[in-house]
Amino acid sequence: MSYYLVLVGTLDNPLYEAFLTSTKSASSTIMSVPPTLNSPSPSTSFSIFGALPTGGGGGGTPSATGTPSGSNVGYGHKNGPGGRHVMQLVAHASLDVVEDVQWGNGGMYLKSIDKFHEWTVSAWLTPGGVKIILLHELKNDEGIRLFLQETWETYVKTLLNPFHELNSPIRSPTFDARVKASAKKHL
Amino acid sequence: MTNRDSLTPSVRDSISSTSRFSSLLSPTSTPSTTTTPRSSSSTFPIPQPSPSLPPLPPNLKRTSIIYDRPLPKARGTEVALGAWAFLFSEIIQYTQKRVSGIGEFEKRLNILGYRVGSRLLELLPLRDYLYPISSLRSPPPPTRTLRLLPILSYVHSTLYRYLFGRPADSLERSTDNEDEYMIGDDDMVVTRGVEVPKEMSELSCGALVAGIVEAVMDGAGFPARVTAHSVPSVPHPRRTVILIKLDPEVLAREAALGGK
Repeated sequence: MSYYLVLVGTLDNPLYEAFLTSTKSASSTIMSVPPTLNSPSPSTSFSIFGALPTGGGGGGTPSATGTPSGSNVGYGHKNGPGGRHVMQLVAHASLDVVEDVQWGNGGMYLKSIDKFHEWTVSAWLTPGGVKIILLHELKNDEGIRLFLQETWETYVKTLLNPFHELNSPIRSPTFDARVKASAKKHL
Repeated sequence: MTNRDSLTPSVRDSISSTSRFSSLLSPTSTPSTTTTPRSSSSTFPIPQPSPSLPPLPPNLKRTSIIYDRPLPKARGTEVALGAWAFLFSEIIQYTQKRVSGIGEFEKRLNILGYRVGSRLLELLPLRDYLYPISSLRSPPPPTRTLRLLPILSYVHSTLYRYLFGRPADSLERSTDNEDEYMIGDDDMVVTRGVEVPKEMSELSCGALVAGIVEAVMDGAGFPARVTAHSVPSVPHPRRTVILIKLDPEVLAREAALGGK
């Protein structure tokens, strides 16, 4: 399954983003996926990404081309450029929801605040006003919480570098490696 | 502060939504300059999977010690007051050579403090959460501060105790303006070694602490303009007051949240 992680700074500027994939596709967590998606094999193409399912119980056939087919309306393959733009767009749209929620809920972990088709948006608000937003398809609350918490920890360590300015994009390869290792462990 | 050109007076007037320093603290370049679009038809650039740095010469190795260092504060790592006084006097001298007025002087100290405060604000809750003082089996989930009075008392007690080993001496609300709060410190530790000459009597080197407080208030979502003022009195000749002037939006939000 794929995930999209973005860190949004205090000025609503992106600091870091990553497209993550996980091998845990057919685990027990699939039980909590909405019933529209419970095909036996994890499908890599969904209705909003072109290739509308035609038959009943369909949707399990991945679109081989990875590009939106001419006759169907869609955004293209999930892992293609079009699909990635959708993920950026969904994450961006969820910022409004985060602002709605953040003054009513004192926690840092805001789980499942927004939904767009198969994407669920969870967020982690740091005390310094940075928003860590994760798009996910599976409901894996504990893993996601641990992953977001570790991302926060890694971010704080980045910030502790005196040469790192607040709200500047994170380009450290170590940060990238840490986030990916954490994703492999928890997602 | 290496970027001297950015400290022109016009910056002071440009108040952004989050901080009046944000134009200084954030880089001027747009965040996604290194990205390359995957396809020519894309409107927005898609970032590379991993950000790439310029390659190093083969005999050098990039270290990552800041990521491997543990977060808890070890005992006995407090900075000696003498060492601090020496460092602070160098900061003051360095700054004094590069400013033209007291306002600019304090602004520069304020910016230095802001850089400290924005890091403390993230670090302290993380440390408390990962390494709680009490040995509870599972620490409570980390929380954010939503209301004005808790954040003020957090600054007054927790932050102050972390920085200086004791809480501040007073926390008051201004009687004249309801958007102003004052944190009083009878003998501020950072300025203990500073003797301000008479012709610069308006200067308060506590501007550094004001910058720390401003960063904490800004980051926690309570944008404010924080300044330090020397208010000498007979029992406390070194008394400093940190004046917190909140943005109107904070008071409006407080009023909206008031029913809860």
